[in-house]
Order: sequence, then structure tokens, then C-alpha cells
Amino acid sequence: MSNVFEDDLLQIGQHSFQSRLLVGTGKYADFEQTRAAIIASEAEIVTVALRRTNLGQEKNQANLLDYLPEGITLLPNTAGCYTCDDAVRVCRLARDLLSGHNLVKLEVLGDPTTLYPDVVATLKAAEILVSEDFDVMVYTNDDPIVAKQLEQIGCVSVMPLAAPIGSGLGVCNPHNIVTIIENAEVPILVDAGVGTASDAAIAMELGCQGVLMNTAIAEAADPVLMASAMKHGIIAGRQAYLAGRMPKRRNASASSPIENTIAARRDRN
Amino acid sequence: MEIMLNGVVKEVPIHFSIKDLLVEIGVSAERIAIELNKEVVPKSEYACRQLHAADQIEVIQAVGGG
Repeated sequence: MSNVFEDDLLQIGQHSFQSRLLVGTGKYADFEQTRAAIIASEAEIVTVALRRTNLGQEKNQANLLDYLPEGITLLPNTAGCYTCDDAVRVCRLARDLLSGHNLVKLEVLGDPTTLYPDVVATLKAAEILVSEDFDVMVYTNDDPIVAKQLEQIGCVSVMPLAAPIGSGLGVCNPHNIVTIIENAEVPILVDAGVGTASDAAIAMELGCQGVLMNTAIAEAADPVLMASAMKHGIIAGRQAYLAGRMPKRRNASASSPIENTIAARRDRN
Repeated sequence: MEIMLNGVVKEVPIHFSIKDLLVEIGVSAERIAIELNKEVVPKSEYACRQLHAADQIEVIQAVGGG
């Protein structure tokens, strides 16, 4: 077998990764399940959110960070931020929390119903964060113009949504995703909207460099099994993309020889 | 004096440091980050940074998210 696939790494900024599946840590039943799903997914980049510490809690209460597998790369997000200022503040806090770690997932949301990005605020926040030496992976909509602008600002990866966050609708606008990929010189990852393994495979077949997901795994009836399914879906989609699919034809093309059959010949009706 | 801690008013003594505050609320400095009046305070400064009336403090930690 050719080693094309084995040498095929996801490059984010200065770092390279074997896995093209990035997973979130929200919505799981407990930290044990979170950990088991991450391990099953074989994801190497894992998102976390930042929130106020619950000051009423007991001392030594379990902390998510203690349950994450060794060696993973953390990707703190700015989920829940609706302004440029708040998103920048969260990234600065994340850098301190994680001892100088500068890889962040920027998202500046527009409204709580769609969770669509506020692209104007996103562009502004991206500029500030890049100027402060953050490696910014940015959530955006499937607008090719905005995606290119985010790349030109200096984001290390641009991550258009496949569908609204948590919707599980799959890749709703594959044509725009392909246009974004064709124009890009940084990795394009689909972030949000996939529902099942075939959705992840479709995103990869379109040429995405990876897929970031949370709800599709965490809200599956068996999250750990779905994490494994997503791993395989991503690999299948990537390999299919690299292999190059056959052209589609309107009519059939027999796979068995059409010559020397004992059957009576049938011409086209 | 009164400060705002994670959005809630809290009474603390004068000359109270961030480190003193963490001891009082029972939070370890390891898994948190702190913002004082919208500026991050590095962990190395927790002991020396004194609080003032009306200061706004945010104590944050990592939680599950996507």
C-alpha cells in the first residue's frame, strides 16, 4: 500500500497532527465519558470553554483538565462571546490559564438562535489576536470572501460551519465549502453542523483538512461508539479525497466483460 | 470594602490581595486564571496585587465546550 496517507499530516501553524478530527468536550454525561469519547476518537486537538469558577463549589472538585488524555493539544474557545472585546479577553485568560499556550478557537457569535458568527466582530477580534501572537483558528460562516479575509489577517486555520452549531444537519452548502477550499492557503476545517459519520466523510471528500465537532458525538445514544465512527468517517473521507473519485455518468457502465457472453445480445431499447 | 467577584458583590478587608481572596474562597491557583478590571493578572502577581473598592474580579476555569 502506498504511504501517501501515512505521510498526510494536518498542519496547523507550526504544529502537525496525524488526526484530522477535532473534538469538543461539551454536553457529555460526565468527565469519564468525555475522556472515553476523546480516546475513541483519537483526536489530538480538543476544545474547551472558559467560564466563571463556581465559587459555591466544594474544594478539590473535579476539573475537566484532569480528565483529558495525555499529550493532546488544547484548543480553548471563545464560545458564548457576542463582542470582539469579550472574545479577546477570553483568549488572554486562556493563555494565562494554559501557561502561555497561544492556540485559540475564535468565535464571536451574532445571536443565540442561529449561533451564526458576527463576521464584522470576528474580523476585528482576529486582527487583535494575531497582533498579540495568538495562533487563531477561526469559526466563520460559509462566505468565501470572509474566509479569505480571515486568512489574510493571519489566522492559522479558517473554519466555516457546515450547518448551525449543534444542528446535525450536515454540510448544507458544499459548493461554498469547495470555493473556500479552492481559494485558501491555510487549512480549511469544517466546524459545526455535522450529525453523523457520513457528514464528516462528505466534508473530507470536499477537500476539507479536518472537521471539528462536539454535539454529533456527545448527543449520540452511544457517544464513545460515535466517536469511533467519526474517526473512521474522517479517515474514509480523506482517503477518498486523496484517491480521487470516479467521474459520475448518467448511464450504466458494465463491470463484467460485455464480449463472449452466452446470453442473447440486447441492443438499446 | 466591596468588590465584584464573578459578577456578585463581595465584602473584603482593605489591603486584601488576590492571593488572600483565593484562600478565603477556597480556590487553588493552579487551574484558574484571573482578570482584574478586564486585565489578566499573571499568577506570579497574585500575592502582591492588592484589591481596591469597586474592583471587578473574574475567576475563570476550563469547562466542557465545543
